[in-house]
Amino acid sequence: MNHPFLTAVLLASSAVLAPSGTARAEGQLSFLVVDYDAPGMGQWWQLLVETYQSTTGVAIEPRNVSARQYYERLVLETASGTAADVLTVNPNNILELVAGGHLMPLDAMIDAAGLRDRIVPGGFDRLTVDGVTYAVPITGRTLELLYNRCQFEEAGIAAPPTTPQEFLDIAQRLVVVGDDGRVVRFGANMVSGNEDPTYEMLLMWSIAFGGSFSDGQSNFTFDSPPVIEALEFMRAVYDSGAVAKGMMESDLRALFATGGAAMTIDGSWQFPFIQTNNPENFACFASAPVPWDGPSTGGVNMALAVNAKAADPEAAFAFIAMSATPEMQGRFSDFSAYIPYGVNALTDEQRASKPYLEPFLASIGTAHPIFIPGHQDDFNALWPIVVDAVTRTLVDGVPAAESLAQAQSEAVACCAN
Amino acid sequence: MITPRSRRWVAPGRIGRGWIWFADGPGFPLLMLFPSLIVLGLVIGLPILRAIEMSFDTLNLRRPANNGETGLHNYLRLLADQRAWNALGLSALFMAGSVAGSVGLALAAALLTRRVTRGQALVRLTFLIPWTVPAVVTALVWGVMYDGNFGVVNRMLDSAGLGPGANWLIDRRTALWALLAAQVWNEFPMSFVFLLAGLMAIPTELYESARIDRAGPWSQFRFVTLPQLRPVLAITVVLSMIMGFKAFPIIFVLTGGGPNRATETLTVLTFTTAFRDLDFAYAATLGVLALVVSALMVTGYLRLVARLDDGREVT
Amino acid sequence: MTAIGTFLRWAAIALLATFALFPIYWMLVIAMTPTGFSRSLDGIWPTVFTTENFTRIFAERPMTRWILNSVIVAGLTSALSLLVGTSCGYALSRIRFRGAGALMLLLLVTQMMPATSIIVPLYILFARVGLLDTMQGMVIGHVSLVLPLAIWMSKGFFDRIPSDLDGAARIDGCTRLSAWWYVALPLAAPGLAAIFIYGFVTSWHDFLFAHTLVHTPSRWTAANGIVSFRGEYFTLHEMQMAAALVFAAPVIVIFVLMQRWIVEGALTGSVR
Repeated sequence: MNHPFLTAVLLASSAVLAPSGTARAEGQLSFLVVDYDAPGMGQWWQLLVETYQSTTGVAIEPRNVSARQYYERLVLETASGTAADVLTVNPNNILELVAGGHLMPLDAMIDAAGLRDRIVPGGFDRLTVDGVTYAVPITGRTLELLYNRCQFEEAGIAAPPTTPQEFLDIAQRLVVVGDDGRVVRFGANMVSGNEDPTYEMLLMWSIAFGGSFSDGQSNFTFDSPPVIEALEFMRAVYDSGAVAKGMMESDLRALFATGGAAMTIDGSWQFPFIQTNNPENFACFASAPVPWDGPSTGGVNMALAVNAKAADPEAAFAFIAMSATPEMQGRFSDFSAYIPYGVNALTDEQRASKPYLEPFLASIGTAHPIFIPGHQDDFNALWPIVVDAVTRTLVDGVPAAESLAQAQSEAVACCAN
Repeated sequence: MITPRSRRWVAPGRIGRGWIWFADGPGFPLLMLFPSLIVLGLVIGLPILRAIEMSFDTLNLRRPANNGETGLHNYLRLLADQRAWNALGLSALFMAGSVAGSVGLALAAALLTRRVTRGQALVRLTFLIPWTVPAVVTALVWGVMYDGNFGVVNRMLDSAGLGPGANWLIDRRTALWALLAAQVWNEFPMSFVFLLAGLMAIPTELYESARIDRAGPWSQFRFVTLPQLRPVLAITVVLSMIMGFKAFPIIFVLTGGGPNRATETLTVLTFTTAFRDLDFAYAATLGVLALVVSALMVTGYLRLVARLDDGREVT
Repeated sequence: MTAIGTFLRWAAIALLATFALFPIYWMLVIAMTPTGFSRSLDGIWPTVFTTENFTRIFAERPMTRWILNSVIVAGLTSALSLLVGTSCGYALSRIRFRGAGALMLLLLVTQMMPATSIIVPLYILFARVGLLDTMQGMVIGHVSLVLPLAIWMSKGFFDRIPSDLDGAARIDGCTRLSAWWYVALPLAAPGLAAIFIYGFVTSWHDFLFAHTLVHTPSRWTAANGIVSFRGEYFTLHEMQMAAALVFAAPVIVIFVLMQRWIVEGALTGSVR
């Protein structure tokens, strides 16, 4: 070789410039989807894509993103104008997407397809901005009381709690301490880490004490008596030693699923996890309505919207509408532990085989939204304020009234209308 | 004797045509420098320039009302922003701890390793192992170890009789130090490699003559090792400073900046400003702040080292 | 060295080694715990073992694909950074021009901007150029991470190789380019190994570019793959640790093979 250097450069550049990897699937519709290849919900998405592709011949390019990176990717893609044709959205982020002009209004297409009657009443409420609907709800979730029946029996407790005070008492009774003074089993789970589930935890207990984070006119009520009572209650639970301190929410879930905690307030996704990873004890786990007189928190979890810049909006909407067909809705419960939004989606058989779904199905229609009505687009600014207040009280010992007064003024400063 | 494989013989100084202009003539610097400058300029330079440009803009996806407005407003906001200055202070503190910890540990490990005769390869490999784990995984495993009730750190403290350990990542007094331990663990192998190489490059004759002068181990360290090691130590510290200041995954995964901003460094704040508050222009401003401060610190450090070098005698 | 001295040295080494290795041991413990149970592990010696996590990660996810992708990307990154970095370092070493010092400093400065600030403009740039979701794009991104240090280090090595040597080659009829390729590079070979390893490891571990610039799962690298075990509701720690250990294996192999070169390579060619 006369010019080895030149050869090396050519080889290197051809390696760089040559097409790589597997041939790219040229999709006619791109679809931003969460956890597409995970067992459970992912399988239903795959079924939807296959069904659509085989019936219409339009190819779908699924853009899989893991749940943790979902929000970042959504932001990146919309900010750079490369967003997918069909987008997975939720009530928490829909306002900012609409404000940015990224979503297409769907009312005409929904009415033409007759979708209004096929979706559970109230399903579209949180996806409608100024009277215009922008997304179709697919899954919903609420949080209910989950508990370990076997551990309850062992401790001689007959029934799950129905009031906050009972919750605290039972949790304390169920703590098991080892010889070394370390807790072997906690009485309950309570999220208290630096993440947004802590916001929802305070919201739930505020509802339990008869209040909420806002009044009917979208004014913040963080310093109202029910919220203060709720935070003081959380402090009592935290200090009692009945709950694990400082664990992330996902770890607390694993703790409950493997018998490390006797009670939790969580969603129906626990059950498939327990079935896979703790099958010998699956029969011990049961669900019950939340331990207070009032709604659970939750609502629409995932909805599908059409990108305002989609090249073929009809095809995109047809894909979305296919998810609401009885065939697809009927298969939903086979894969996913979420609550589908199709009317009468679950057959009697499916309901009988999954008795733990009952409290969730009963509460989905009346669930209290997690975001604050009128401040949907401020969720990301508000939850850190609330979580900081909770941390101040639980970890630093600041009195609840003081913490929440500070939260109230910060919330008003950042986000009052 | 080097046999030229090139068929074209060009006398030095002669400017030829064609590719010779690149291989041997005035085009040579261009050929050698161009690829690097292109890659760096495009992939890093352009985004940095764009980020600087964005810092004068307004780009808030959550409150798009003022988008497009330009001016110094972001910088004025920065001056008054207590939270940003807090974050800067924490970044500096974290960086200092990280440099002291990892360079200190690496130096100790390198000094110990270099004199090992048998099994040195194994010892080297042992100290390199933390480098095989990416930062996110480091964060996760240390997170499990730090758990207040089940964590193995507290279990070991229990068995050693050192009392109930703190809830390391929740208690604001211990959170930053707990993060530093994980960061140092992950980072010190890189410094270890440089320092060990630097130590091994010191000619043994210098030590022999020091021994002949009856210098003990501490004097040998002060008058032979340290001066010879100075340039390598300088670059190691600089790299460690940059990595410590930029540290992100370990802090974000383990505490998210909490509890109540006790570990909110500038990188964490920049991330939440961009991807939680969706205020990209202000995040770019914070990025420029980070850039300027790092650059100042590194140049300051290098100047200091250069001045010390001039002042000291080298054996 | 006295016996006490040797004993103390080995005791200190043992202490440091424990610090270095214990988290790895704990990763292994978690990886061998049944899924979900690692949160409540108590005691230092685990009582329940299972290898199901190691089999599950290969069965449930395309692990081999991910490892292959990582090997390709990291290999290309280190090779390219070597080529481009050493050419630039050589030029900076041999050619005196004003502002060389400033250029070196500028190289370092490129590393100082937090990744978050660069990521959006970079994403947009790559989208415009069509490099999004490609292996090539990832390689170029990684090369830009490695290049500054590669240039800095190689300049250092070439500084230590007396320029009389390449001068002699040129008198014998080599072009400057050939002098670089046939004389300077072989002399700096141990240093090249160090740059190669640094480039490989940096690319292997990089999460930012791999995750932001690529979204097709078949193009994911190891770093992306590990993070995929963090689901929305559950983090499958046990499988994630198993995956992390599997992903660390190729890196450990590289270390074992090249560790001699790493040490000799960081500073080399000093005594001629």
